[in-house]
Amino acid sequence: MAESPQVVKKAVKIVVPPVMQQNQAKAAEPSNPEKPQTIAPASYQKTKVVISSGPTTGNNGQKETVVELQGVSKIYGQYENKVYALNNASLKVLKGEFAAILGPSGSGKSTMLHMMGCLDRPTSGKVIINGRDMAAVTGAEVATFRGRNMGFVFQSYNIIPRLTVMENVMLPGIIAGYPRAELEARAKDLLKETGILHRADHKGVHLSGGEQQRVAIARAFINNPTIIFADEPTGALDTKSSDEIMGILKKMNEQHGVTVVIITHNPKQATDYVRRIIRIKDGQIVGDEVNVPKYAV
Amino acid sequence: MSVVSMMARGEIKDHKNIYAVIIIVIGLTMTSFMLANAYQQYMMQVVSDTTKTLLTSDVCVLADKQSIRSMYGTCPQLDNAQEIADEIAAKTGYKTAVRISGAGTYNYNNSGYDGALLQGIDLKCDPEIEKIKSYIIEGTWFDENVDYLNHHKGFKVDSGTIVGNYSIPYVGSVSYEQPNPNDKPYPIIMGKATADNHKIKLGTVLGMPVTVSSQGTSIASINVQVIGIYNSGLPALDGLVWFMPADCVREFKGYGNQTGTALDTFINAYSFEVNKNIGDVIIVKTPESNAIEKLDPISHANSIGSKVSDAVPGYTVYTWHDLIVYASGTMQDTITVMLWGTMAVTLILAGFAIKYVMDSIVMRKTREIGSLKAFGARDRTVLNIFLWQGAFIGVSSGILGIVLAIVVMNLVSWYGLSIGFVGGTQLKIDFVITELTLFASFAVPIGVSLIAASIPAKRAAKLSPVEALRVGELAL
Repeated sequence: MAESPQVVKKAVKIVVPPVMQQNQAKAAEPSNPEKPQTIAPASYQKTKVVISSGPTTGNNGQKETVVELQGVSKIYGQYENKVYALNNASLKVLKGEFAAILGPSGSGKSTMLHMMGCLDRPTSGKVIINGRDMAAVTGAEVATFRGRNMGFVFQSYNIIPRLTVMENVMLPGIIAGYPRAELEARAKDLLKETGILHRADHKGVHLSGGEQQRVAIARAFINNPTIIFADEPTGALDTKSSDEIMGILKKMNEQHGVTVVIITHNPKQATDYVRRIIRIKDGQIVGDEVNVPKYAV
Repeated sequence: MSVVSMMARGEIKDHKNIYAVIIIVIGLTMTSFMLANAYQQYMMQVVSDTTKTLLTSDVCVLADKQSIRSMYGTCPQLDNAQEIADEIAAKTGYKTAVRISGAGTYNYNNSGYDGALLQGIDLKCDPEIEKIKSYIIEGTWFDENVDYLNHHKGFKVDSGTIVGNYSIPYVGSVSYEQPNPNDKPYPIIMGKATADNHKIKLGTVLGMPVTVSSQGTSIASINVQVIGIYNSGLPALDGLVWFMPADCVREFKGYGNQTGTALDTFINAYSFEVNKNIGDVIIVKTPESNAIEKLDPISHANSIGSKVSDAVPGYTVYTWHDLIVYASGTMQDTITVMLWGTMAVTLILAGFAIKYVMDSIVMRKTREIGSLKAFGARDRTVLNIFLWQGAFIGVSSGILGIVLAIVVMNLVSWYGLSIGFVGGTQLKIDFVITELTLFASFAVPIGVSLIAASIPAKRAAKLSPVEALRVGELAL
């Protein structure tokens, strides 16, 4: 089983990529020049684990485990047509981590994300989220749990084109049944953080790819989740937009303390931004290492 | 706004053109159904009301083994008709009355002959009096305090045996009675169709031979005077049925006893007293139908008929519906079935249209459905998004159909369309919207839309999030 990496405490020289420097300059212009810390409304705090900025530790000084896979396999087909999309994968993701699952196409990284995100059930093994074995949870409960505790960012953004940017961001919160006024306030904050507030009233269909992905990130954070899963979040973007999106994810991870797991097949992207790289090949975890990211927010 | 209504509204906006077409198609179907149904209900009401009022009330009772044709003046007399009527009333709680019928011919304006069915009405207890009175458009109803009787029978003439010359050696015999010269004419109220057709005015006196036996060989010639003209709305019956006080019919049909007092021995006229117990037909009136009985009036009529049959076994019982079927076959019932059938076929087609449109939406929006599920939407939420659209189509279609139908009905009423009859009378086209019609026009499109939408809705709800996201990616 791959163990969680130790926190690297040595001093690291943080290099901010040029694109992020420009964005930071823009972000400094709005009324809130300080860290755009989004505070969850009261209704969220009743039902959610409140996550403070930066890494957190449990009572015994260890970081809390948010997601744990125990010998998880996912098999498609039967008999001689059996295909192991995921083969006996074990993994722990800790609170506040910014991790990447890195592997070539078809290696099983999306399947692993689907398991961690409770979008699919494993053929064998256990998926434990926030200490809860998800095998014992019914489909409807899983849906509610997923909506309130997890955020998703997809490669193709999955913005609903007929809804406005604001409505798109609020959508998971509306599904979860949070009060509209609180959702609107939080959506505005998140849109400001992702630099897309000026297009809040535009329809999703009128946005560029980079803009749609910013909206998707804001949407993933609307329910103040414990963990964000991003499936190839920059896969459909040009280099400049990719850097912006990765920078935003990293910033959100550091400022909100939310665990972020991204999937990528781009090694450079992983080494540039994340603090942990999980390598996967043929459905098996072949590496799990601490990374010193090149860029900081 | 819930996620269900937000997403459903979005889908409706996205597909407003095809949804509008479906709504219009279903709405127009419901409009045509409602118009046809309301008009048919009106005609049914006119026919059944007229039939009931003029001839049968709700149920009529005749002598044993009589065909319904006997009601047209040739029914054998029931010597204890009033007793039977009282027995039915006692056992069922229904109102009853005795009627006496007669069939005769008359000469109008010396230009032709026509036939009439006389209905002798018990002026004190016939349950349809108020309804008949409401039909009167000229003249007056009979006055209970006036003695319309002549208190004797007419001068009887017997033809003796009629012998044929050729292959038919024996023809039969005819006996008939002539009115006495000083007799006052019996009062009648005739239909507008007859009056219009033959240009007969109030006060006109007509000579009329009437069949007074069930075999049709005894005839009484009487004089009648028109004191009123009625218009029931159904010229076919107005042209046939005349009303007369029951005792008048009893008198010239000989339902009573000759006292032996000779009034005029030369013309063989003797004093005569009618026997009020004798009659031809007993009519039965039931209380107003309740809402459930109104939904299926034919079954209700049959059940009343059975109840009356059970009360007085050994007599022939016909309901108002039997008479309508006798007169016009099952045309009305067939039209009803065809109306509902036409609506059903159109709505089934519309239902398929809804299903296929939503199927295509589910196919194109698979990724969106996957996203919603990833964001925490339950299966039921996704199901409701599509059912909401189905309900929207159904409610919109129902309202559109009803509103359009009401507009058209008002336009027809305002324009004053009417049906012309051969007799020259007109029946205004009108509509009767029953609770069932209104309910069906609103509820049926909703039901059809929901059923049609439930198939793709279930398919969408059952999609696993990961499959939906994957298929959605492929669809891109």
